[in-house]
Amino acid sequence: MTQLSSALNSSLSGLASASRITQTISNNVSNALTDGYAAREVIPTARSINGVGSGVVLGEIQRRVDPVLLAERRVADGQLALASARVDFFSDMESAIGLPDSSGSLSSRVANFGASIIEATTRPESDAQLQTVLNAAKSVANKLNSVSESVQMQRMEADAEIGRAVTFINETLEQIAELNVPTRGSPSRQEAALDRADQRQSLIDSLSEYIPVREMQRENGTVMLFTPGGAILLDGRPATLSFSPTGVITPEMTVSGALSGLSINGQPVSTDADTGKIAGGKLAALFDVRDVQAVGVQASLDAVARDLVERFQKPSLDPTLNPGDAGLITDGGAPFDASNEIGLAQRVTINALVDPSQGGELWRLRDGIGAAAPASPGNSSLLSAYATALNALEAPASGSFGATYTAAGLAGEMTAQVSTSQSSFESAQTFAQSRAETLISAQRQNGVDTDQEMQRLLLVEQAYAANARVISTIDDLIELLTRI
Amino acid sequence: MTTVGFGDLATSYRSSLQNARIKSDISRLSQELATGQKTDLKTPSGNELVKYASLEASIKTLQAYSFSATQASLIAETAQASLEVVQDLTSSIGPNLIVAGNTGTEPMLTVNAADAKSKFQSVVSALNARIGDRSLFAGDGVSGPALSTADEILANLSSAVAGSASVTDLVNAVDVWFDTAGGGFENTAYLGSTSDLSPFLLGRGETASLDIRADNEGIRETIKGYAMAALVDEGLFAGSQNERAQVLRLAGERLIDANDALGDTRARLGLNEAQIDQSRARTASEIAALERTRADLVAVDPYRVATELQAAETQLEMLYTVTARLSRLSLVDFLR
Repeated sequence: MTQLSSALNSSLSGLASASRITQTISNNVSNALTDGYAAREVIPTARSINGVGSGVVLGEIQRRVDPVLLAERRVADGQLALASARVDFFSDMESAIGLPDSSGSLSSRVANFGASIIEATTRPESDAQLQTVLNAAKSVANKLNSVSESVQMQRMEADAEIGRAVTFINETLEQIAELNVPTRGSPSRQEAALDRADQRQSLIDSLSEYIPVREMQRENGTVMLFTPGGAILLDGRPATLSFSPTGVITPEMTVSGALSGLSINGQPVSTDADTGKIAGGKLAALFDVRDVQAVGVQASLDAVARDLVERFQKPSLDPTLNPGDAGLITDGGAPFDASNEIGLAQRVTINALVDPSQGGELWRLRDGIGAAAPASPGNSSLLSAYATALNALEAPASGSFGATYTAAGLAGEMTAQVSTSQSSFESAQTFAQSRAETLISAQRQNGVDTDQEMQRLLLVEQAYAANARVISTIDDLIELLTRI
Repeated sequence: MTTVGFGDLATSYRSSLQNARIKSDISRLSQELATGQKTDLKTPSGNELVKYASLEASIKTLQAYSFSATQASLIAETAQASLEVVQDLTSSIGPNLIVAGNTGTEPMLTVNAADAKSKFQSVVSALNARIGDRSLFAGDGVSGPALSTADEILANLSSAVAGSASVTDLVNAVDVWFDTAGGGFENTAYLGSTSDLSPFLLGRGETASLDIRADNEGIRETIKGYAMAALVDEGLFAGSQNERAQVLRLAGERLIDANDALGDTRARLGLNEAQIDQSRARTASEIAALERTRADLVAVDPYRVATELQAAETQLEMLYTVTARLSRLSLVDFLR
């Protein structure tokens, strides 16, 4: 009799197990389209009481997650975001400066300026011709000003975005901390714990775009988060990042001066994009753009501006100028001084003495900036000298340019350097992208496979029917017994 | 039970990635085919961009030089035409005046003197030729005339030489008026600048100097000769037929010498014209070569692009077929 009742118990446990598994299967199938959902698995094991087999018991429901794949994918996401931010910056710079095949580009404008001077030497008495030279010169100065403004704009946007990112990271860390409770207890609470784990995983995924995150599971089901660079983000309590956004950014402001760096829990950390504590994510990229890349582009621009200014400030060029006077191209109206190079591109203007709209006279282009009265109208010797100055091969006094260039050549070289940076970061981005895609694809392969679930459902159906059959048979047997 | 499956989302992710990739290829290739130019000038080393930029700059500079050379050519041509007028007039009148001076009859003297006066006016007006708003023979004082009018020159000269007793005195006075630095000619007759017109830029380091001014020796001598003959028409030595004949004869001799000097001047100008023409031809062929190089840099081979485009389209169609097939394969469809 006891064997029969124990058999009944076993069958009942079989039924319960089958229905429990069905519940898991239906949960999985309903979440087949949910990205980031970890398929639930339940493992039945045989139960034995006092050495006698008595049915089945279900182990803990587990989430099917490959932690190595997950970690790798998060790193790849971070790398992709890092490369993309840099590519975006250089693409924007490239379109601000203009590629040489477009007519508004910096190199085009410098070439036009040179050509207009040569044409003016044929008719130096013509105001229209001199006005063309003035317009071409102003177009070069305006371009330098506007590109420099773009660079600083990019820095300001990066700064603002860092502020937003830091707020987001802090909020997300707090949310993760709330979800980071031990998972233990009855099956009903287990389900809730698994859902929390899903949520927690997707929050950590969203973090990894900004800061690369390594996750370490503790035995009680909680996680610890830290960056590959060594900063601890969550260990029982979330870390707090602090950063103060700056409003307006000018070329002279640097991270060691007026601009804010990053602190974690009050400790300043290095924001180097490749070796710092937060290296490998979008946050590091934004710092890189603001403090390294944009500063580099500004320096190149300033070097181009300086080269132009110095060509026209040579003491032997314009006999009407005293040494130390401002030439045709000025630093905001004043002569250029070598200690004031940062931000020069933003300040270059054409000398007001030759600009009728600022009270100057066009004939000063022909007769000299310091000339008191117009001289021989057919004399184009100064204009010829200007043309020669622009076309002379000079080694730039600053910037990372290795050879000698004409004025237009230097502008072209600077454009090419920006383009090359863009291309090389783009290759890094392509690589990171294909790596991320591979990992995402591999991760999704671990997701819900409805065919598998259907097959298991067939088996469960069979098992349920078989168990029910056993129960009804045992019932018949017991009835037989009682009818005796 | 742990089983190894293949997630549903994996297949759809893969095929949507491939879809996006092929479509962007098709878009790029069709743009390249339509414009005939590469969409992306950049190579990893940035060399193509630097080459393109320097080609652009060189082409612009050469075009400016070409413009300058065209202007120079125009000016030289016009100047040559003016000097031709002057020389034609001068070559015929010189011998005529000598004959008239030798013959000495009153009618001949009157007629030839009048002729000289009217030719003098033509010569001065030819030397005051302008192109556009520019004077050709005024050096770099291009906004004003080179010489004052013939009548003014004669008036000034007359008052300077009035009271000359003999032909020798007259000739000396005329020479002094014309030839001394700061004398009458330079002060009142020649209104242009004493600096030459700036050289025209023909190319890098190459210039053309069109530096013929109305106060150079040959032209000065020409004007002198005409002026002397015209003075006779004005009434110089009126009544003394002998002296008038002498003056005309001396004027004729001066004009014949001046004609030779004019010829030299014109020959020099002709050399300048030849130099400018050569330079223009050279610049034009340089520009053509650079433009060809630039076109080669950005051009794509249309046949290769068309082939690639076709291959990409075929690939996309295959992807569509495969996606449709895979979506039909599901166990659910086969269960009851």
